[in-house]
Amino acid sequence: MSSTNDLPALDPNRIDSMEQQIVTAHRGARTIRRRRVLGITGAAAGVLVLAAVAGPVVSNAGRLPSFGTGTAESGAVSADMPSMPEQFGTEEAPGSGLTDMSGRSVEGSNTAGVESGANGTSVSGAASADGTVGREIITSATAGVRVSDVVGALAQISATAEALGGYVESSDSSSNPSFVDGSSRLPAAPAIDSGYITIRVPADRLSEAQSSLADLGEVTSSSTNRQDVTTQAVDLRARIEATQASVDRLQTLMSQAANVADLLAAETQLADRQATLESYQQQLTALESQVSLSSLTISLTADRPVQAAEPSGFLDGLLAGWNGLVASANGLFIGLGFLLPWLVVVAVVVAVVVTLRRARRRRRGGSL
Amino acid sequence: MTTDEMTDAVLVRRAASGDEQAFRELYRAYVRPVYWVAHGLLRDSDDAHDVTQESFIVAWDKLGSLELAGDSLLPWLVTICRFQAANRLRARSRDRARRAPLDDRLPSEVDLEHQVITSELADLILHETESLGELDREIFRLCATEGRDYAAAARELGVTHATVRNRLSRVRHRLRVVVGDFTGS
Repeated sequence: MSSTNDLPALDPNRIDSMEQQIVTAHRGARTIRRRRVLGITGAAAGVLVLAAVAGPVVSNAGRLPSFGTGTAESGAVSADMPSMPEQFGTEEAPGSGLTDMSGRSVEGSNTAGVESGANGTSVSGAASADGTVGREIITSATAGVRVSDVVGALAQISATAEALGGYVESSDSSSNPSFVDGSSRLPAAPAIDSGYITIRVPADRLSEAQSSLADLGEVTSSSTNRQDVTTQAVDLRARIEATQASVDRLQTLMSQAANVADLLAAETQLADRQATLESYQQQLTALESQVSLSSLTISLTADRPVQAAEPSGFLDGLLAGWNGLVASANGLFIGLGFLLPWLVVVAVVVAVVVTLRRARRRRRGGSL
Repeated sequence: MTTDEMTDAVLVRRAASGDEQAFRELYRAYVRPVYWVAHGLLRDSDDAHDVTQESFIVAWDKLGSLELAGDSLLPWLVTICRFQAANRLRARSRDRARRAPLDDRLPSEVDLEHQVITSELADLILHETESLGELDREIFRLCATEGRDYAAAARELGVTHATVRNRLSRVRHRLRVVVGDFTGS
């Protein structure tokens, strides 16, 4: 316990061996440290890669498949759908029957996607005089087409209608103010992005008209509605005949009228009958017109431009690059958020293991 | 001080960035004093050898974060050695407590953390070690005989030392001026 005045000697061999052991220990520690750093970096990189992959998958899985293009996405370009039953409201009285028919007609600009798929051909209504040779059928069709240029397509359809011997009944086009091409730097000129047009073409040329639509763009929907109005026509004709006969009779009566009173009575009745006759005749004409000229209503939508518009110039490129970076970063963060609960669990497990190992090491080191 | 024109500071920097040879030079320079301190604390040559070795291993690890206050690495090495020796003493007492609970050679109640060497031993070590600067000698004494922490001791002494140095340099400067006036240069 007493301190000596001489300092203890240190054997040179001992000095050398200690030096060697120190160096070896240090190298070993350094390797361990490097391996740990690599391990952690590897794990972090793995997590980031996983997040980058998981992000888009997670965000896509939640989204419903979206077909937003504006038209009635019936999705079925009719080719072999079962044909519609041919009779339509034929039980009703002619008067109401006609309004009913016109109510169901597809003229005008606000009907699209009448979901009654049928084949594209139309039966030409042979409107014979006595109505017994062929059926009289009103055919009306609708179609939805996605085109790149709405205005041009409208013009083309009009030309087609006229070429087929028909005419344009109505058309209109509109632009959606929210649909502005964001990547171009021109002042926001609202693009025409939708349009409706109704054409009338001879019934036997309806199918030509329908197939011509395929040249304009992608036909996204198509339907045909056929209405057999033979009974109404026959009925009308019968009434016309009867009323005509009545008018004739009254006219004969008037010419043979004995006195003024009888004449006046006959004349009143005649006027009434003639009005009725005219009405029936108008109805028949309208019906026959509808039968002979089918109507085709086309709904046009503009093709949405591809998102990746080529950057035209440095600033555009920069913007595109920045957006891309933001999008990827967003995807990465979504992925990280998704992985976070897992990471917490893993971290807890690792912490427990490390504390256990350290405690064990300390205990072992202490009892040397 | 170490041999060559290499100061300890340069060697420390090199060793921290991976230069093995630089560390070996530091080891060679200071292995004896560290061993003497370890022996002074532990009184057993085998334990002292182990502690010396451990001290240098630990020191190598910590070199990166060291801010050398004086010119010599020794005082800092001494603090590490003291810490390792304290661990060894604790382990020893635990062993003894387990093996021979009735042994009356148990260490006293003195706090093992603050085992220090006597000032005579410290003087002897300083005498045998190649001359340390004034600041380093003071830091060494504080750490070895009073169990102070290196950074705190260095800071405290560094301030005093710097003030002393500044005063000395001011004196020297005034002398030079005077002499210059006198010799007309």
